[in-house]
Formats: sequence, structure tokens, C-alpha cells
Amino acid sequence: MTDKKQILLVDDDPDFVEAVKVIVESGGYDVQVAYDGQEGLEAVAENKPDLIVLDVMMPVMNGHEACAKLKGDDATKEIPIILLTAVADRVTTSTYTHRDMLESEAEDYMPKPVEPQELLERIKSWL
Amino acid sequence: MDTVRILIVDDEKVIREGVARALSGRGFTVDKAESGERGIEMIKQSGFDIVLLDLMMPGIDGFAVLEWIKEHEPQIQVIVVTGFATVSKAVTAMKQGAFDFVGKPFTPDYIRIVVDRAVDKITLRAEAEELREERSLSLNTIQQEQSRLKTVFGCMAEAVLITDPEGVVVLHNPAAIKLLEIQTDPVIGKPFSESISDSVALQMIEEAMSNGVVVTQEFKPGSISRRYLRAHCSPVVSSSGVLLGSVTTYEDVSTNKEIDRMKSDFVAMVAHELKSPLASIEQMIYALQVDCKYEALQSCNKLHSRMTVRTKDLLRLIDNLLNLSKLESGTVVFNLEATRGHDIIKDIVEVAAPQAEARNIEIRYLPCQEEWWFNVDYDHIRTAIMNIVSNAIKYTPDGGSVDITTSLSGGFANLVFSDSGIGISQEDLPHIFDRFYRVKGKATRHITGSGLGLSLVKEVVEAHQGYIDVRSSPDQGTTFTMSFPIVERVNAE
Repeated sequence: MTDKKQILLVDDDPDFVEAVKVIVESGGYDVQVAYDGQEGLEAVAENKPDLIVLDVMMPVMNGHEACAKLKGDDATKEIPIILLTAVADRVTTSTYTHRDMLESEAEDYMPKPVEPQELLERIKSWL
Repeated sequence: MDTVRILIVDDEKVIREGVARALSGRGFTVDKAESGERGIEMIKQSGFDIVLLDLMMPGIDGFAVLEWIKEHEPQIQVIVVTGFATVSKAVTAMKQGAFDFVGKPFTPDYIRIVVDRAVDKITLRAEAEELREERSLSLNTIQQEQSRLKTVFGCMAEAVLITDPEGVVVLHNPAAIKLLEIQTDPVIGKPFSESISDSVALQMIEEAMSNGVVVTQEFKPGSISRRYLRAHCSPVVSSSGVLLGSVTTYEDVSTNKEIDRMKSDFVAMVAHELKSPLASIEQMIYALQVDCKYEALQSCNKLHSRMTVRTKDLLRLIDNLLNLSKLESGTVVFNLEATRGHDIIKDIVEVAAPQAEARNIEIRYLPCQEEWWFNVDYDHIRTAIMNIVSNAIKYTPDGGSVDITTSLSGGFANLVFSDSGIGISQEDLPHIFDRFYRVKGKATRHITGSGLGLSLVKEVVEAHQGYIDVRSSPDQGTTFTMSFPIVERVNAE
């Protein structure tokens, strides 16, 4: 383990994960990655991060579910979560249900794609 | 009217001649009979409009002739000719239905006046007859119109409920009972609220009647019907401004609503499918700006090449979307030509070989012994089969295999593509032909695609009267079977 802060990135698009990883690493953080909510929870259990950047729309387990599980667990509820969503405007259809971000227990949320400086500032502010 | 035909029945020749002379030159046809018997005979033979009849004749007298005429030819106008001494007899004759009488001796003018009056009466009667016919015709039309309206009302798909000013139902059609699921019996004569216990439905009728405006309202399934209804309620007001009641029509708009929903779902889906890759590309552009400052060129190049791939994918997705829309709207023209099945598959196997070799996957093609031909658009079918073969390679781990076999049965050629790939789960299997459906999981994470390929394949196959079927076991492989009707071998020109 290094003394660098640990950031967990969870998103189902490997290219997106790779791009955000480059940005977060440039801010001097260590980055772990996971590709769906379930993997995210497993990664947290294995190696508790200092902050989680969590995509909302993912297969297997979406970001809202993963967020609720983490916030409902005493062991993980203190970890700050930044939710990422591509559908920032509230579009509700029978296939994609976009929950009101205000209902979420996440500390912060940002629309995708995330501007590098903005992301690094937000991460810094929650650590 | 046609020429008026007149018969003079008199035993006295002088009278016959005198009357005939008086009526000559006026456009009448005039005949003469010297006795009652002869008169009846002539009437039977020719038919007349007016008979000038002497009452006092030997043999059958005027009364008997009159009686016969009234019984057999009632439309004939009879003018009695009689001496003044026997005027009372003329009155009797009039009572028996004679039109008028002329006393002897008479002036020619008087004869003409009386005959003209009879002619007028005949003309009037003919006109009255015409009018009566017209009237009965229009009555028929009205009756027909009414029964037509009743039929239309009864057969309408829309439900119609008509109330009086107090909101009591006075009329409804069968669709109303069916669509509004009314169980009250009878509906007519009872307040609307007794059959439909929905405050909104009642309110719209009250509002329409009290404000004198048309009220439109939509009813979601479960409120007054299991269907989605759109209702219009109009007040009915007489020409003098008195409120007579209301007419409400209920239209089943469930299908429209369903299409609306599918449309907005589809638009949202397309927006999402376009936005996600664009977000990733934009994120990579951001990363590139950061990366090129700090990292090695190699990492920079990797992002760059991924951006190129994703952009190309996005363009292909848009192309596929347009193709799919063209196929579905039926605007694609297929250039059908008899094609040798073996040729098209051999070509595809050759083209796919480099993609397979790069990942050490073996493609084995085992054609059936018989030659077969099918009637297809070469380019479209080649693209469709190519898509299946390319998928088989994409979803098969390195070192695996793809087997292609063909067989003929029941007028169809069956093309079977089996891979030793990752397979498809039972949950995903029913959806793989759905637009934008992509199997998501660890194994498919790094495989890109639009999610439209199989939708396109299915459209093309079905446009060629073919079938496509899929079987799969996770971790063992997937088998796609395409079937096409075969055609007689065509000799190359």
C-alpha cells in the first residue's frame, strides 16, 4: 500500500473507465476499477477505497442499488460517493428509469462526460 | 298529359253528331257508341278518359253503364247527358259518381265548358298522383335513412351515451355497454351515475351542459374501462337555445397510446445509444489532454486508437439504424436473383478467415452434397450471413472453432452456424434480436457492437421468406440456423 488516496472507479464502459482513470491518476491518486455494481461492492470489500466514482446505468447491479447497499452498511457508509450519469436530464421511459438524484444518498453527482479539472476538484473536496 | 280520349254514348244520332262537332278541333280523340252495350265494349277495347253518357237508352241504360264504369274503370270521368224533364235522374247519376251533367238541349259552348272542367280534373288528379308518389318515395328515403343511421349507430366502434338535461341516459349504442363495461340493466331511463360511477366522467357531462361547451377528457385504463379512452362530451341545444341533453362519445385510444409509448421509448433508447459512446469518446478526449502532458506516447496512442474505434462504431450504429428503418418501412428494393448457395458461403468464409486466424479460431465449412440455389438479393444476404459468422468469431474465445454446415429439407436450405463460444444465457436468448439489446457481462465487456446487427439480420432473412433460429448453452457455444426456400437450378446464360 502506498500513502496515496485510493479511488474506486465503477463504470461498464472500459474506454470510459480508462479515460477517467488517466485523469484521476494525474491528480496523484491510486485508482482501482470495477465494471458493474456487483464488482464494485466486491472491490470495496476487498480493499476499502477513500472515495467511489460510481456510474448509474450499469448491468448486473446499477449505481443506485450499489450506492444504497454501501450507504446501508455501517462498514462502508462513510465512503463518499460521486454518482455519474449520462442522462442528467430527467428522462423516464419504461426501459430506463432515471431516479431523482436528490433521492440518492450519494454525496455528489456529475453528468457524463466529466471535465477533468472539475472532477479532481470534487474528489479533493470530499477527501 | 296525352291526348284526351272521349266517348259519346247516345242512342240518338243527332246528339252524337252534335256533341262530336262541339268537341272537334280541340285536340281530343272523339269516338261514338250508339248503345250502352256498344259503349262498354268500346271502353273495354280502347280505354277512355271521359264518357258523355245518355241516361235514357234502350237496352242497357245510362245508369247501368255508369255503374259498370265506376266498378271497372273508376278513373273515367262520366258526364251525364239528359233532358231537363229528367233532371232528377241526373242528380241521382251524380250521386252515383258522375262528374257533371248536361241538359238537353245544350249549346256547344256549354258542352265544351263541362268537358274542359273534366279535363282539368283529370289533369289535377294525375298531378296529385305524381305528388303522392313523390311523397311516398321521400317517406321511403327517410325511413331508409333512419334505419341506416340506426345501423351506423349500432355498429360504431366508439361508445355513445346520450343523456337528457337531468343527466338521465336516454340512448346508447352496444359499444357503450362493451367499452364502458356497464352492468346496469337497463341503462336507459336511469341516471348516468348509476351506470358509470366515475366522478370525472359525470363531471364532464355536467360541465358540457352547464357551460355549453365541448369537453374532452382522457381516461386511463382502470378508471371507466380496461382500455385507454378519449371522450368528447357535447351539449345538445335546440335552435331556440333550450338545452336538450348531452352526447358523449368514448373512443378506444389504447393502440395510439401504445404506439406513442413505443415511439418515445425508441427515441430515448436511440438517444441513450448515441449519447453513451459519445460520452466515452469525449471522456477520452479529456483524458488525452491530461495524459499527453504526463504520460508516455504509448498510452496516448492507445486512447487515440480507441477513440477512432468508438467513433467508427458510432457511425456504423447510425448506418444500421437507417438501414433498419428503411427495411421496416419497406422502402428497400431487393434485387432478387437466383444465387448458388455454396458460392455465397464460400465467399463469406474467405473474407472472415483473417479475422478468425488472428485469434487462432478455425472456421470449418462442410457443404451438403447437393447443389442448391436460392432467390435472394446477393448483397443483403451476404451482409446478413457475414454478420452471423462475424458474431460467431467475436463471441468465441481464442483457439475455438466455428462450424458451418448446410442441408436441404422440405424445399428449404438450412444453413447452420455453430461456434464453441461463450454462449448466451436463457434470460438473454429471447431478446437477442431486439434492437439495441446487447448481452452485458464480464465476457462481453470488451466486445463492441451497436446491438442492431441481429435485428438487421432477422429483417433481411424474413424479407426473403426465410427463418432464423438460435440455440445456445452458456460456455459451450451458440448455434444459429437460417432457412431459405430453394429454387430450381437456373442455367447461367
